[in-house]
Amino acid sequence: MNTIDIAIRILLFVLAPAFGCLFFGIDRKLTARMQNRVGPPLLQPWYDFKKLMGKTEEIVNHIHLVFAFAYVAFIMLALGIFLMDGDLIVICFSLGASQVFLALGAFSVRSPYSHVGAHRHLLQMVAVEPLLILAAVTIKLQTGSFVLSDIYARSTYPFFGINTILLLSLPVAFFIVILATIVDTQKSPFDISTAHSEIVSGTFVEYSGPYLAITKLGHWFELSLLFAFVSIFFSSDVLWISIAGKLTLDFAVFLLILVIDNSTARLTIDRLVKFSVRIGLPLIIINIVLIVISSMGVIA
Amino acid sequence: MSAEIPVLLAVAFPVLMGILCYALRNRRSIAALSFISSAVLIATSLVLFWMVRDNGGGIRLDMNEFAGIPVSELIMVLDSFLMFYFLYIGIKLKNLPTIIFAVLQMIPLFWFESQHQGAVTPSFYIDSLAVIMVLIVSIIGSLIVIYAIKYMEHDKKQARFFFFMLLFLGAMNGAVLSNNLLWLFFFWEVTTLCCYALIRHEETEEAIKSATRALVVTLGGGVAFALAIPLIFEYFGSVSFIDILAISPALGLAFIPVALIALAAFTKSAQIPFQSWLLGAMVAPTPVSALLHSATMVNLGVYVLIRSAPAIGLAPWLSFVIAVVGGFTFFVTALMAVSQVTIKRVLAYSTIGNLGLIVMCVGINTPLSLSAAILLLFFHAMSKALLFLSAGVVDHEGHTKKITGMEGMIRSIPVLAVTVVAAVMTMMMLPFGMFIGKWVALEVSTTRPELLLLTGFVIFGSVLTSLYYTKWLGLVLSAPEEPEHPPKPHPLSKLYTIPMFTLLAGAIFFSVFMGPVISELIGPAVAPYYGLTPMTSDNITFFTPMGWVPSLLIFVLIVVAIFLPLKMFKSIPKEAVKPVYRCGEDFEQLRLKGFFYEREVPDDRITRYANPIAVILLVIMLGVIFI
Repeated sequence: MNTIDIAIRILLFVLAPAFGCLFFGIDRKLTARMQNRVGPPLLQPWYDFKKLMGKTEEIVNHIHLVFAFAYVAFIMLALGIFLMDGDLIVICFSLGASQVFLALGAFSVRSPYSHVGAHRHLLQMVAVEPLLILAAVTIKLQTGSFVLSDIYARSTYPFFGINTILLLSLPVAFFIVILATIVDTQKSPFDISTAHSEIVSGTFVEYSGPYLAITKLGHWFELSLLFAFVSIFFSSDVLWISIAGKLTLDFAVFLLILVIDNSTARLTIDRLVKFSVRIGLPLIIINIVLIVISSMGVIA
Repeated sequence: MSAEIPVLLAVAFPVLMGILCYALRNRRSIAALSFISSAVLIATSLVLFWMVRDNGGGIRLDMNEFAGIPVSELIMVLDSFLMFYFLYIGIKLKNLPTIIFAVLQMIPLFWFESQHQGAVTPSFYIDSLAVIMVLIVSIIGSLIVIYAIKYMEHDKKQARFFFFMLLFLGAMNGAVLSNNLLWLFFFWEVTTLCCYALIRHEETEEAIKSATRALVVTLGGGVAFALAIPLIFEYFGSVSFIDILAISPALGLAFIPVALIALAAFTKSAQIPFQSWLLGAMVAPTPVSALLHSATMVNLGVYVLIRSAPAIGLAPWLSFVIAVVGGFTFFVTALMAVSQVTIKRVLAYSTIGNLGLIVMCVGINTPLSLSAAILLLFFHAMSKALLFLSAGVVDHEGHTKKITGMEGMIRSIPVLAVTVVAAVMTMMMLPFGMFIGKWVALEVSTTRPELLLLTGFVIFGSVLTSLYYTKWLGLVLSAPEEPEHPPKPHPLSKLYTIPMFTLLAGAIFFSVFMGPVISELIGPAVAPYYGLTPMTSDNITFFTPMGWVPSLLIFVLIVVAIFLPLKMFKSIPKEAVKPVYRCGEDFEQLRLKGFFYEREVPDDRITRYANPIAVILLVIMLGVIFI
């Protein structure tokens, strides 16, 4: 890695929350337009964040805050490992760890809303996390490595001279990653643990002022991480094709999420789990079996 | 220095102290003797560690005759006594399986002893794997014994209790150091006896029932072991463990005894379908549970498996089935633990599952997976002992055996609650040792297509593990608002806190300084059979050939996440602490209880499905050899 490379990675890390912020801005604007409203300015999430940071501090207890910080720390860690071209499984587990901390934070206040939110959040983790890790396993089976630098180097699926598009060889894994992204961005139909109209934002109900802002920051990082995950599915030897492809892929997924969010109603948690076990799991197993069979040379 | 003295101190000294405890019978001397024996054991284990380290490999020690005592014959005589004692217990309990198993053990054993001379050289073989076990048994075991001095202070039968506890430690040390399979078998049976006696301690109907079940299952395993001994001599020509491992037998049938030993190890380590005895064992006083789950009993099974790994590895089908049994156990127990309300039952399922993971790693049988197995064994012992000791204090100070009873413990007994939280974190959070082990197991299981089933088991098992541990912690943490004048929490006894904090410090310290653990313990233990261990750690990053974890960075993040808010909290005025949002309702009578999903994943129903599957797997395990 040369100096410029490292500088770009650090820059990407710093810009990650801005990306998340922008995502929610565009999301709100587009949603408003779909509903025939004018909608807030594009940078509204950032204005909200600034305002929250300036509010007087009100807390419930301090363990609650420790877990909020741990949540953000582990999300940043996951993104950091991603930008260091690290191990996919470690990235998935550190994303999982951040979810555990978020749930523990919600558990550490004695509020039924918060607790229901935390329990739902855990179940959501149980439903989605294994699928995400299995998607990582399929990437490993296809490329022979869990480490991102090797994945970029080794993924071979020739397509019009661009020799590395995982998307075409692993469509099911890609679908699963999109599913995970929808769940983790708390978008309908999977906004179960923070259902604002039902359990008053569940996991986040007791965070306020600057501390709520910190959890928002964590959420922005989380979003960037998930879109980074999506972007693994496109890479190329030629730098500009690689960047353009990754951005296009992310944008397509973003639009897809928006459409799904606006056209569906919230599911219940048990239906999410069932959806994950009955549809997501069989799909990914089929994908793994296909990879194994094709690697054995049964199918060319 | 010769190794005879430390070996005697590790094996015979605790037994001697135990006998003295039994003879003196008064509380003062029992406490003193337990302390002395703990101190000596800890020192001895460290001495053995240094000796093996200096020697640069295994130490062969011949003790068939020592100071004029024919040790070998003595052990044979004691072994025969033990067999007859089991028979006597069986007759007294009027328990047919016990009687049958006791007799079945005698037949191959006595036949073998009548045909062959029982002594082999060397009688003890002390290498790094044995030293890791001696360290676990002696240090963690001793800490548990110290804890038990306080825990059992009002018990009527302390003399008997401490006799068996110390005998247990001696027998475990004997078992892991023995190179002679007959001696190993003898110590193995002594641990069975100790386990039975300690579970039975309370003498309630339930205790007797559980103890009998434990006896039947582990004696059944003993039968498999006893059958394996003459067969091993038949096919390998020796009952010396190191000689057996040096031979690669030509005959496929030679794997029958190996499979039998694996079967025996499964009973000892409570793998499915033999898990019921360990679940029943929770009726025993908590120090006993802690000892069974972390320092002794269950570790012996996986130790023997790890030790036999080179022989297992020669039969690919056998090792595959062993891996499947382990992975299956890990997954199913994690699922079953989700619905448990009793603290010790959750912990028991967690133990069985983690041992399953170790068994799976042995079955995968590569240098990396073997290293992961030893790593898991090492870190699991510390974290699980800590969790059990905490559960004991919760029982004595918090007066509850249920997870629901721990609701809001962060306010009532903060020290204990924080310990429990930290202990659980060392069990599941990255980058602690247990996580590293799981991560390596997961990645190593993707190396061969036929192992991908295990990848699924590990992934779902790990995620479910975080589910059941997190929702438990959730109840511990859900504190009610602070009252105006909070009652001063009653301080915990030093005899509780010192062992607990030592274990916690150990679990954290060795996770942070993983480098020396790998280079001093795991590397040398794997080296003789598998060459260099592929794991490395420079304490900053943990590397395997498949990936890496930035461990130091994560520890720094954890410290920052804990202390940054703590620092900010000081600047927050007291008025800023507000009650939770009530939505106009009254939360005074609020009981949270949590969710246990008893309807969705009831453990009894899962057991009904899991046990037949596991039995089929075992039949395959014993059957594939004939193919």
